[in-house]
Amino acid sequence: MPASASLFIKTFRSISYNSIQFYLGIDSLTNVSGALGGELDPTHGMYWTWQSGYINFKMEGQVSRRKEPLKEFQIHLGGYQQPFYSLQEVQLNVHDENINLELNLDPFLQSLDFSNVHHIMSPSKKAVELSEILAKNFKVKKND
Amino acid sequence: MIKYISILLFLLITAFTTRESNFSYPSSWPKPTYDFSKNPIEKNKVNLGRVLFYDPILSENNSISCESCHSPYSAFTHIDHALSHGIYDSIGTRNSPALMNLAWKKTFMWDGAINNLDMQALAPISHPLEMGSSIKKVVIKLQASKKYRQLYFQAYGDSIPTGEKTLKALSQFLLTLVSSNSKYDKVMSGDLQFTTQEKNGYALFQKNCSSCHREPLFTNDEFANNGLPDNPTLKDKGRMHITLDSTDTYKFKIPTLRNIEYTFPYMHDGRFKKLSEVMNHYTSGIIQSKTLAPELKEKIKLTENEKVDLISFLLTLSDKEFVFNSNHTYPKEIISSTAKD
Ligand code: HEC
Ligand code: HEC
Repeated sequence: MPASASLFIKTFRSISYNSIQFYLGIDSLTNVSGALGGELDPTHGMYWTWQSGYINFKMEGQVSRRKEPLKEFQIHLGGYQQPFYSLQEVQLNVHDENINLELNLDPFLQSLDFSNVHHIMSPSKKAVELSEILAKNFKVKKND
Repeated sequence: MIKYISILLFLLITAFTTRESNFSYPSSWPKPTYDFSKNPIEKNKVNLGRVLFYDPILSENNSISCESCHSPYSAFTHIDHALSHGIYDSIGTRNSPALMNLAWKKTFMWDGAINNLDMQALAPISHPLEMGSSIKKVVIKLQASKKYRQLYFQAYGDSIPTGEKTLKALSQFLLTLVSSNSKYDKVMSGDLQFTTQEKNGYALFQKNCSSCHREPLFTNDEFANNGLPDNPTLKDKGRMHITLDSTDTYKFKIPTLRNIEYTFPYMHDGRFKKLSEVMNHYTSGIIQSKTLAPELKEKIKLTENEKVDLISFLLTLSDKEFVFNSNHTYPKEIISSTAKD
């Protein structure tokens, strides 16, 4: 896993647009469609193994609170079935052609309770809440 | 136009017959749930899947294969183990189920954790107590093998193993494990007859058991709590671990009873060694609880003779042709004709 990731998306010059829309995660039909290839190949590590389903978002690392020793944490968000369906739709208005899309992780990290929970690794209510927070924190910035 | 239509028709007909000839099952059975259109059965893919199934290369230290826990001679369950026995002599937490008629299942595992047969192999490959590896590591090992590059080429026309191809090939082999040639099947098709004892047993079965162990697959593929007392060391709550719904506590996948003679020990934790113990459970061992299946709330009454009759019926579900099918065993003939590593 890279420490920071940038994804470039090219668009056609001749097409003008004023909004973009995408999904954060994998929809439920794709989740029940068996083995898939390319970016969806489970060798990429974005698939749960003990329970079927794609991992929509992964963040792993170490935290230290108030000079306590470093502790590993693993946050894997996913879930394709109600009541823990965690796929999020993101829709943003854009005013420029050359833009950066930024995900502000601060509200997400603030909502994690690192004093008690270091692992979220299966579909749950908390995983849905965290996915919603992520989806709300994308921002369109002008690229200069 | 006519020409196009005839070409199209020809294609349709060949597609249909290949499917039928490569995946056959009794015409009285329901339609399979597996989506064959996404992974049409082909001989070379089945062969690849069969070689993978018997190869310990799928485990971290090349010691455990799928067959280690699913032996063909016990209808693909773990011979003589209540709980499965994996890598570095680890003991798992559940009894390995027999593998057959998997094309008809909607979900897999005792708790239904797996939603598609293709994704099943990921679980044992990654489980630290089973094969202790990962699909990524496995694919890297397969890519380095001359033998597998040849087998993938034969199966896919492309010699580079990927996760998708590996999982789909394993599914292909697993899908061919169809058991439909027991005495029961021959009685149903009119070729054989039950003995009087078996006939009595069949009537008792239909009265007490077939709502869950539904014919002809001998499972309705649902989950139920059949009243087993909780196993205090395993504390396994079954389906509830997946749905997090307390009404699913102690519900487990209803297993097929085909080949039950070969698949002991019984239940998700292998607690019963003999069918007579299973009979005693259903007549006098049921624990009442909130999630107990409604049809088991009232006591099942069977005399000792009736228990014997019921067991004699269950033994008509043994399919020797399946258990000794040489297309399912270690693929010596395929391996000897492929490149050596
Ligand atoms: C260490 C023993 C072990 C190994 C190795 C193993 N399995 Fe299993 N298998 C099990 C157990 C135990 C279960 C049931 C687990 C559960 O329900 O939680 C199971 C379940 C299954 C099922 C689901 C059957 C059903 O009816 O729901 C399939 C299919 C299967 N295994 C195929 C495989 C394949 C393919 C491999 C090799 C890649 C493999 N197994 C390797 C022990 C093993
Ligand atoms: C309410 C549904 C239900 C009914 C009715 C029912 N069973 Fe079961 N049966 C189950 C479930 C669920 C399991 C698996 C339980 C577990 O392992 O936790 C099971 C397991 C079994 C097994 C063990 C199979 C294996 O491979 O481990 C046998 C044998 C069996 N049942 C026989 C019977 C017989 C005989 C009857 C009728 C007297 C019967 N069952 C009635 C639900 C049912």
